[in-house]
Amino acid sequence: MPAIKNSPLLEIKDLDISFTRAKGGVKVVDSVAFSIPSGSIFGLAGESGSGKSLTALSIMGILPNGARAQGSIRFKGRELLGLPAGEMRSIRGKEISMVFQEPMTSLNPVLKIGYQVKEALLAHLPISKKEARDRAVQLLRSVMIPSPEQRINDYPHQLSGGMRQRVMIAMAIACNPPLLIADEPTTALDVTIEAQILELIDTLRAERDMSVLLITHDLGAIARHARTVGVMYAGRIVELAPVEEIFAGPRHPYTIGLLESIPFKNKKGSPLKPIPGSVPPPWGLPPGCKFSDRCSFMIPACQQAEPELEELASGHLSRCIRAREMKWSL
Amino acid sequence: MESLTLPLTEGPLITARDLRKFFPFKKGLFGREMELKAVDGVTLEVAENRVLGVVGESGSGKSTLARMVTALDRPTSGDVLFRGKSVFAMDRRELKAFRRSVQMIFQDPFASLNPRATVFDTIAEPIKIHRLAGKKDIEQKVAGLLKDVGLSREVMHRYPHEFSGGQRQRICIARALAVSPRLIVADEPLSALDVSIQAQILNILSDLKRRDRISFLFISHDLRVVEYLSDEVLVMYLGRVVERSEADRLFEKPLHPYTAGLFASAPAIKARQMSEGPVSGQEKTEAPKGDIPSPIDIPPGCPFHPRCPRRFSPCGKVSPLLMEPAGQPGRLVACHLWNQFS
Repeated sequence: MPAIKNSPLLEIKDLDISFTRAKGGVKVVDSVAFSIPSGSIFGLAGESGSGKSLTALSIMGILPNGARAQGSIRFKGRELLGLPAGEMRSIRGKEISMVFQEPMTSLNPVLKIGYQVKEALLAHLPISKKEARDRAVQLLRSVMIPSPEQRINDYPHQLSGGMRQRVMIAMAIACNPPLLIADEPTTALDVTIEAQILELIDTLRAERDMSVLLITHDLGAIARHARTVGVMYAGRIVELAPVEEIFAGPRHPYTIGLLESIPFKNKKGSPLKPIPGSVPPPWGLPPGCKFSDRCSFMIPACQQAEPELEELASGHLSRCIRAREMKWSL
Repeated sequence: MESLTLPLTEGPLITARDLRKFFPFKKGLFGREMELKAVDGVTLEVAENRVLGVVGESGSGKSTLARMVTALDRPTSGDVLFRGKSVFAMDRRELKAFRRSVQMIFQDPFASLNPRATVFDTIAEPIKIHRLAGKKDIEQKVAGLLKDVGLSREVMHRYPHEFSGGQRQRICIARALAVSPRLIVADEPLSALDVSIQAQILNILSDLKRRDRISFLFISHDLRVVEYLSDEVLVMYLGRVVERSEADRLFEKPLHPYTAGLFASAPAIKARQMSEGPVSGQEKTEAPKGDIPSPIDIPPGCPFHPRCPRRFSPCGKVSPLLMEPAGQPGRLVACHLWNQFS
């Protein structure tokens, strides 16, 4: 299927995800929209419970039981929502693949890592077992695992956390997917290993012209690697902007609050200004703007109607009625 | 606060001298006895109203160190002195007083609270054990402690499962504060929490330092947090101290290549992206390559040399001593080549 010229690789519009359980439904992702061009890293930031991971799972078509996605997810111009299970299976792993947070629980502990990488290849490509083995060795080499010919016979427990995450990445890129989703890929790892893994993902992106959806709560990782950032709060994108703009001049109080929460050098000795309270559950959100009950810029109008995601400058969107008044810098 | 009636001692609050903790193990069923060197010769001091930050990757011995400093574990050799007295030579009464003065906060607020005890039970227990308040005053005292950590007194009769991670960590802090400690050993107290909640907890901790003059041994892998809170920093690698310095000078100019590598690994949020754009293909970090070796198989010579970008041949043979580098009074670094590249 040839990619359509000038249209983004992935385009999400009006995505809603709701859980239908006992007493009616709860909407946990609400009108999310963003797009990722080829060969670019899109960072999705936000705290736990903001709906980042569910958004990713809906792209892969692997939402948990009881969750339902509505709206549009177009990949290479083709609508993924509502695609028959069989067709989705041929896309998943081949065209779009995913790396998860915890490399220990996502690898099968009783199978050698070589077998697990080969499995990813054999599931999608018409190749012999011998060929699959050679490719598995190559893949492990491309994720910079030393002496891959020997490592291929190791079990997951024989590898460190960083090495396991490299194996996960090798499996994910086995079929050269145009889109890689990395959901908190470094949260369980040490800082030094985190830097290595993010650099690896970025290098693979450049070599293979792959797009990456990088989901993380670490704004530092996004600042260093992403080209565009979406900040999520309570299931909504509250700010969307090119990376250099969002850190130079954030235009949503939640983004400002996140940046204010990070202890920078120049703030030593003076108290931080964290966002008060914590994220309310999806059934306890305030009327109007969902951030209003924690926002220090709140005015009565904020709770009358939910603000739209409005474009302030080319490519810079904010869901705040006072966005044009915001002046903040690092 | 009652402790202010006593003259504050001039010397350090707590001193650890040449602490070692080796765990024996057998390699294979019939293998020979070997030792895992979790902590290998660490010396430190925390003075009154000071924060000593400890950084290093997992496996560097930070938590084992914390357990020895709080006398939860006995060291293989070395000593811990509290106000000049060895905690391992204390009698029951003295040890009880020590436990009152030194409290601990753990990483996982989900695992460190008893799920079947109410908030009141949890916080009141140390008050009862140390007989710090009469029956009638306990409730008032617990309410006061909850207020100190930003919780209302209404939460007192609820159970841990009703709280978020940040609120649980507040409860853990209130429990530690119940006995008016002089030193709090905090082992990764923020790493299970979201960024905005981390900042709330960080504010509480720095208030305690300012208002109650509490000292901290603050263990964290988050360099920004350590820089924000610490007066002095200890950098550990495979059970040893590779660098010790006043925090401001360390962050301005690290001397050990491992410290420099740690700093390079932590993504900066400011600086680069505004002028240079986000693509990082050409800009390689100075981050250490590879993984931290296993503590059962520590490399000979300088333990960091296999990952060090600046090593030369003696590094693999001769272990560098922790010494005061010339022209850097008050700092300590264990590197043959610190002078060559800083």
